[in-house]
Amino acid sequence: MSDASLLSVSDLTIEVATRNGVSTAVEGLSFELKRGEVLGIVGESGSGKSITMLALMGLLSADSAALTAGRIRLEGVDLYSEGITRYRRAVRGGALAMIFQEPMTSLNPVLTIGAQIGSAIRQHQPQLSAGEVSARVAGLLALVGVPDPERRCRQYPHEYSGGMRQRAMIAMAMANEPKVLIADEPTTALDVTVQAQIMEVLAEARARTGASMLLVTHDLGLIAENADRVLVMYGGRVVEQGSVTEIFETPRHPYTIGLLRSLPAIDREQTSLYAIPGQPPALTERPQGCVFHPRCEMSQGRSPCSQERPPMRAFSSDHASACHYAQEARRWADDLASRLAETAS
Amino acid sequence: MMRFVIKRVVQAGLTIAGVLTVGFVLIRAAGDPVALLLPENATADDAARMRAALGLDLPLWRQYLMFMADALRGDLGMSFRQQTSAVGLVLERLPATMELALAAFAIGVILAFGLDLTLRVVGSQRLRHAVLWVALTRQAIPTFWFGLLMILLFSVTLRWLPALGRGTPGHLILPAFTLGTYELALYLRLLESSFREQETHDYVRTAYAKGLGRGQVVLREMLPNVLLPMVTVAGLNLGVLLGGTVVTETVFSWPGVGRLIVQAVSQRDYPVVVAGVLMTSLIFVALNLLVDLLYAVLDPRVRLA
Repeated sequence: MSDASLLSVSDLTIEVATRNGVSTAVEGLSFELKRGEVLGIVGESGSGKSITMLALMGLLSADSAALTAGRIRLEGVDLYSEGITRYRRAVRGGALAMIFQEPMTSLNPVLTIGAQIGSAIRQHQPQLSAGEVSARVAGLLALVGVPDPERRCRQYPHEYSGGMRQRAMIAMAMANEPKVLIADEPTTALDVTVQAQIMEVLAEARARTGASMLLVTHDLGLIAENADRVLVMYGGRVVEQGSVTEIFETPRHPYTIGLLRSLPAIDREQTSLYAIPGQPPALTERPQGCVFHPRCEMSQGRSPCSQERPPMRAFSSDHASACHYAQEARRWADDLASRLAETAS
Repeated sequence: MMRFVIKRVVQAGLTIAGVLTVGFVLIRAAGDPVALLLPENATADDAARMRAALGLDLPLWRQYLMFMADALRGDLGMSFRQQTSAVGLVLERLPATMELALAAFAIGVILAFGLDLTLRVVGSQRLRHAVLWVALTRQAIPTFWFGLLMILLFSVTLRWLPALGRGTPGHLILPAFTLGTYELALYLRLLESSFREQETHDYVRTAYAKGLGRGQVVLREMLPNVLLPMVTVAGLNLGVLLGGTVVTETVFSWPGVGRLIVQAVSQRDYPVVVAGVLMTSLIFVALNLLVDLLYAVLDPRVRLA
């Protein structure tokens, strides 16, 4: 672990109880988050991104999901070591804070916005007086761009628009100046114009406090604009990781290539979009070998793909891919591009 | 707010007028009360005189207007069986019913909230389910049977408590316990399902993510939401209790409204029946108004208009 590493996750495995027994939702997940950095995590629904974030917060529900292997270290301290309950309570909403996808339902409908942010402050800074807490609440709402904070902190969630609610959620998450901010699809439920504002608010709040951020999304555009590095997840595993530039310019995994080619781009000669064939595998039906092989058009049925799990291989100091044939990826990407251009003409 | 209350009072007036009209129709449809009132050897002259005295020889619409005008003054006529006013009979029984109803309601609500919230904050799901199971078993036992068992145990065998009648605080214990444990089961079940429903909401996850402990999440975040359905059910339920609890009153010879009304029905004493029904309707209308006002206090999304 380097000095700059703030949050380090190694070999994380999460098992969940399903109707057909126990399944592995996340397997051998490792990543590092450096100080001040934004790490984007992309993947389809069911790829294990959200459950990983809940594990980081210690919010896995005990009767349906369990962390069975691996370590989560924050500044070198193992969050799941002994005495976890007490430490996790200090970590949750303190050093680690989370913003959820649905601002419409993530706030308590019968408590005022001010009370909800206030309880987050009081939980971690009990020495503050009531007056100091309400002054901090108003300050936080002002920070995230809620106008007239003294009045609006006495309002209820239903008096806020979706965008305003997400600002309030950000204020709540920033309440105790967290070291790591986990944003799980923070803009998915919002209008496109509001999305941009929310990302700006997040950037400002982070700039003010120096917090690092895990940005979980399936929106590659959001990653390109906001993240420093990217982790691409598929079927509960990391398939590729690296800096935003390398991932977007020279992707080394057919899944990443497929994702990028399925997006429209104004600077490309292409009128049809690529669709990755098939569906992501269900939790209980994850294939052997490379999890992506049944949908992979680059594999062409080669046996290692269905037999052996591909190891993570580094291509530069900050770019690694888990594909047996990663060296072919660039040529396949070019072929795919020309094919898509042909169908256009 | 004021407009809401005025609107509701007008609605309540219409409801009560409807109840009275139905009462009038029932009394008249039940046939000629003169036959019930006179001794068997009365002559036709006696009957005609009585009919005139009661205004039964007038056209129906005049009888209706007279009935409504009297009702407005709180007079629903004399009981056919006892020579006192029907309303007076009901009012005389009301304190006994209120005493029993409020005691049972308090036992049910206080015990249910106390037990459920304590066990929820402590976090012992097993213990909570055990309590719920016991309460459900009580609810599955018919009240008359449970009441008789109580009398058998505490009055006959142990001789601790009086079995029948009303008077000392000791008289209240058995009927209030019998009815109260039934209420307890009702509220425990409702709390269980309301909390289970609230647990699925995202705001609970947000609350835990803030670092709040289970006690804080249950009491400060979930409880205010759980209170909403509870208030609705509690309002209706208290109305049912105040309208008289026939079975419990009968088992313990409790001189309440429920028993009075059942007796009046079996004796075809219609003025008393109408007086009882009217009182129950008034209680329901008042409680519903109270529930609506409470809702506006508890739920910021509700606007009274």
